[in-house]
This record gives sequence, C-alpha cells and structure tokens, in this order.
Amino acid sequence: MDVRNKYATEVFITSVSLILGFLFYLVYRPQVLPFDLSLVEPLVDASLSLPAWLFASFPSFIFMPLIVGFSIALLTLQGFQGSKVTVSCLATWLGIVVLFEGLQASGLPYVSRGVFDWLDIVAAILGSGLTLLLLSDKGINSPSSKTARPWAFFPALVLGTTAILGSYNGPCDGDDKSELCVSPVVMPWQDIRADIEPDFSGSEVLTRTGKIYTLDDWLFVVEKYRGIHIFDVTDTLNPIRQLYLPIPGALDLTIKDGILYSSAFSDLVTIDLNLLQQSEGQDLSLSRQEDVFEYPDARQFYPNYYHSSGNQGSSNNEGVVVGYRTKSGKVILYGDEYDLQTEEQRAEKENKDEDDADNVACVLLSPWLCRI
Amino acid sequence: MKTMLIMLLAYCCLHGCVESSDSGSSTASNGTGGSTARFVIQNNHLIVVEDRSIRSFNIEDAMNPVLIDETFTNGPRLETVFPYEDDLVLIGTNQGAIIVRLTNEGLIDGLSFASHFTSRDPVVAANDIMYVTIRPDGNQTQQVDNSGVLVRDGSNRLIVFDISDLDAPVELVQKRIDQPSGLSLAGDRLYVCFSEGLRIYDVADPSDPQVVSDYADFPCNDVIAGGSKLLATGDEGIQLLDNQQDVIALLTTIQKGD
Repeated sequence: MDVRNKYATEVFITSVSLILGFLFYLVYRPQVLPFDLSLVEPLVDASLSLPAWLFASFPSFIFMPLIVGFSIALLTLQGFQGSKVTVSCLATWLGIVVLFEGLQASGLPYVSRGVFDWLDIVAAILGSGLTLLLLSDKGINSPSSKTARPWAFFPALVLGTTAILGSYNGPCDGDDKSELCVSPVVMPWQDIRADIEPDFSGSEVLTRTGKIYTLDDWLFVVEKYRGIHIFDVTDTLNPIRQLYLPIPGALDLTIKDGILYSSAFSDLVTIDLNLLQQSEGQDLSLSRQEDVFEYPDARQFYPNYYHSSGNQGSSNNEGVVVGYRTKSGKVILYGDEYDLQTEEQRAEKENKDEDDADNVACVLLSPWLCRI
Repeated sequence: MKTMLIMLLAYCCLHGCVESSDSGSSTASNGTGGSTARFVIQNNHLIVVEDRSIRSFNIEDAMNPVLIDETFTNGPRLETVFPYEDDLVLIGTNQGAIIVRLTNEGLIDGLSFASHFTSRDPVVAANDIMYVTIRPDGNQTQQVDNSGVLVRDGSNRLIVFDISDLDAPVELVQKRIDQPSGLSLAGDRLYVCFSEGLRIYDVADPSDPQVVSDYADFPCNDVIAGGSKLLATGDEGIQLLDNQQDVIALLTTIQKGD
C-alpha cells in the first residue's frame, strides 16, 4: 500500500476518535474539560442517554483507535509500517491501559483516583480489535534493522498520558475529596407535597427575601423556595409576624378574595386564608394543581465553580433537585450563600502534603512511560 | 391577633379591597404585588409567567384553579407580568415589553411588542402610558473601567411608551438611569429602584419625566407605592417607608433574621 494513503487512514482514524471522544466528554462529562462550556451548553442535548455501562467505558474504548492511530501515524512518518508495527503498537498501549486500570485498584495516590472497572479493560480490548480491523494491512513490513528514534514518540506519549491521566483523574472520580465535588440533593415529591402546617409561633425568621405582596395592613413576604411570611403592619413602626406558611418551592404569590395562590416548584398551591383560624389544629384548606409549571433549573442551585460527581441531576418522578451536597457532607439548598471556593482553599491547604506525594508519583511514572 | 387577621380578610372579601388612589399599581386583584411579580389576577383569571411560558387559570371556582391556556415562547425570556386595564397584561421580557390581550374566557392573545435592547425589564402602566426600566443582563453589569465608571451603560434606561394604540406602541422618551429594576406608579409620581437607591420622577408630563429626588438610603429591587406608604424590597429585607409629598422617611425594616 502506498505510504501516503496509509498515513491518511491513520490520521483519519485518530481525528474521528478524537472528535467522538471530545463529543462524549462535552455531553457527559463537561466538568472534566479544562475550559468554560457555557457558550456551547445550550447546543448539547442532555437528554441523549447512553446505557450506564457504555457511558462509563466509552472513553476506554475510543482511546485505543485514537492513540494507536496517532502512534502509527508517527511511525509511518519514519518509514515504519506493516502489521507487525500495528500489532506491537496496539499491544503496548493496551498494556499501558491495563496497567493504569490496575493501578486504579491499587490504592496508590494520584493514579488510583479513578474507578477500576473490568468493563474498561473489555472496552479497551474491543477498541483494539476495532483499530486492528481498521489498520489491518498485509503490506510490506518495515526493515527490522531500522531503529526508531525515541523522541519521535514524544507527541504520542504526551497525548496518551494526558488522555489516560486526564480521564482517570477527572474531578470527583473515586475518592476525590475536593469540596468542589458536589452531588445533587433531591427533595422527594412526598416532602414537597406534604401537608402545609401554618406556623403561628413567630419563630420562623426571614432568611432570603423574595417577592412581596400587600393587602391592606397585611404584608406577605416570600421566603425564597421555602414559604411565605405574613406580617401585620397596622402599626407601621412595629410590624408583627402573624404566621408563616411553609410551602416548599414558593416564589410568587397573588391573592383574590382571601384566596392565596402560590407557586410551589411545578405545582400551583391555593390556600383559603379566610379559613385559617378554623384550620388551627387541623388541615389547612388547600388545593394543589400538580405539575402545571416547569421544574426549576437545577443549575441555578449549584455554585459557580463546581465539579459534580457523575451528573448534576435533574428533577423527575423522584423529586426536584433543590441543592447540592459537598464532599464533606454539607448540604446547601436553593443556591443559599456558601463560599465553596474558600472551603476548597481550606481543604487544599490540608491536603497539600498529599498533593506533593501525587506529583512525585507522576514524575516517577513518566520515565517508565517513555519506554514504549 | 389571629382573629383580627381573619376579620380583616373577611372584610376584604366583602368590600373588594380595591385601592383607589393608585392608578399605577396592580389593583386588578385585591392587593398589590410589585412590578417584578410573575403571578397576577386579571379579569378573574390567574395569569402566571415563567421564563418561556404564559399560563392562564380560570379561578371562578376559587379553590380549584383550572389551567385553560398556555403559550410558549422560544424568543424573549419572560420576566414580569402587570395587569393593565380590564383585559390586558403587560409582560416584561429580556427583549422588550409584550402587550397581551385576554379574551373573556381567559385565552391568551398576543398583541404587540415594544422592542428594545437585550435587558431585564419590569413594566408598569396607567392611562395609556407604559413605563419600562431596562438594564443589562447580569453578566454585563460588571463591566466597569479602572475608575469604576460603568463602561457599558448604553442599555440602562427608563423608557416611556404611549400605548394608546396597543398595536403600535410609540416611544416617547428615554431617560438614563443606572441599573434600574422594579418600579411603581402612583398618581403623577413614578418610583424607580436603581443602583443608588430609590428615585422619584414627576411624570405629570410622561414625555418629560423629571427627577424629583434620589434616596440613597433605600436600596431596593422592587418598590410598591400606595397612599402615604412605600414598600421597598431588597436582598436584605423590606423597608416600610413613609411618603409625605416626596419626602420619604424610614418607618421600619423587616430584615434577615426578623
């Protein structure tokens, strides 16, 4: 086969793999990518869903044609080609992948942050098979006397190790303790739609002021996503809290003829204020129109800079995403103020020693990788 | 006190509770919401806007609202809704104000669109005049130069429209105002929350609003004017203000932790 054509095949395989791999990360693991994706985010249809096993192991699969295609392209440039070259290159990279996967199970720092999975190895083998199929060539083998110059492999090594380490050390994989690693908190529907018990004790305090509504000498103040405070402002110098209605998801309200209409996430809640007194000690006169509004966008409850473990979750039949939980177990609801960056810095300081050890491991590993 | 609340509410039901003095507030319902409200009552229907939708509920059976119409948009992001006259709602969007007519049955009938810059904008109206405040979206508000002056203030405006022809709103005037948000109209006074607090305009001549005074002590996102009282809301709480002929004094504050 013509050398030029062969080279083109390899570049083609590498490029397609690179694009597929990038698209996968763009859709499924955007938090791993080192740049801001807020511009392209709307273009990505998050409803695309792959089966979980494919989701987890696709990177291992696509890595093989990517890196082997690239390595062989470099070899071809130097005049090496043929099935022997292909097979040995495949074997080398497969070995590296298996080794790294093994290291993930080892508990060593840095390399062991990923999750060991037999399916990853199976996927890498399948990827190798595909690569072999695509590159199979019964043509001339290169002269065995020729020796490759080690520096020529440098680009392949950089790409390969970056992909392996970059992927396997994605934030929040495995035991990553970063405070920026957050997971969604879901409020189940039975909690959202639980009975609303008016609180006359006056013990609920205002924390996040939302919309207000006035009705004669009454002032209704939304406690964002949590409920509605009702004040008597007859004495303008001394407003008195009359009651608090805990309504999960409340953001807006209006009143007509003593009937209060409030949002409650995707529900419309109707409460008869006229009957409030009679309801003391019994159920509130209330009706609920379910799912007439949109679910809140889960992203608004997330901090600006976060890495999510897996995905950030979405509201569904189970409930509504109402906040996040940090690695240390702190639960932050409804985007309440919480300085995650500072927490992160504090945590980083504590983990500094460990990080130093990680860097040593990386430096130690690199020379080994150069022995392709 | 509880008994008092019930009595008052019962009184409201009997007497309709319509505030008479404030032509510009959302008096179509019993009480008053701010200009940033997303829930309003208009013509016996509950109108709710979300980012991409307008919904209309029949509340004839008050305790059992029935969704009767919904309209979705993939264009402007809807932000506020304000009831106007008997059968209209004005919707503040990030691309301008939309005037929507409701049929007797409460069906939504899109009408006209007073377009302008991309911005956030609550809207109020009275007597054929519509007031819209526009401000840059959040990510643009940070653009200040070294001396702290806002570089991109091109879209910080109060805009006044003549909407006597609902199909063709006519822009009367634009006034520069830094980071305006909620606004409220009471008689010939327009109250506007902005970066430096609360501003009062004299809008006796709507085509030439005059600044009466600025109150830096009352930072707010939204304001409700009614009689001699003002309510200003901000992130930190609510301020009850006394308003005597444009002289505003703090009565009390309900704040975080209260």
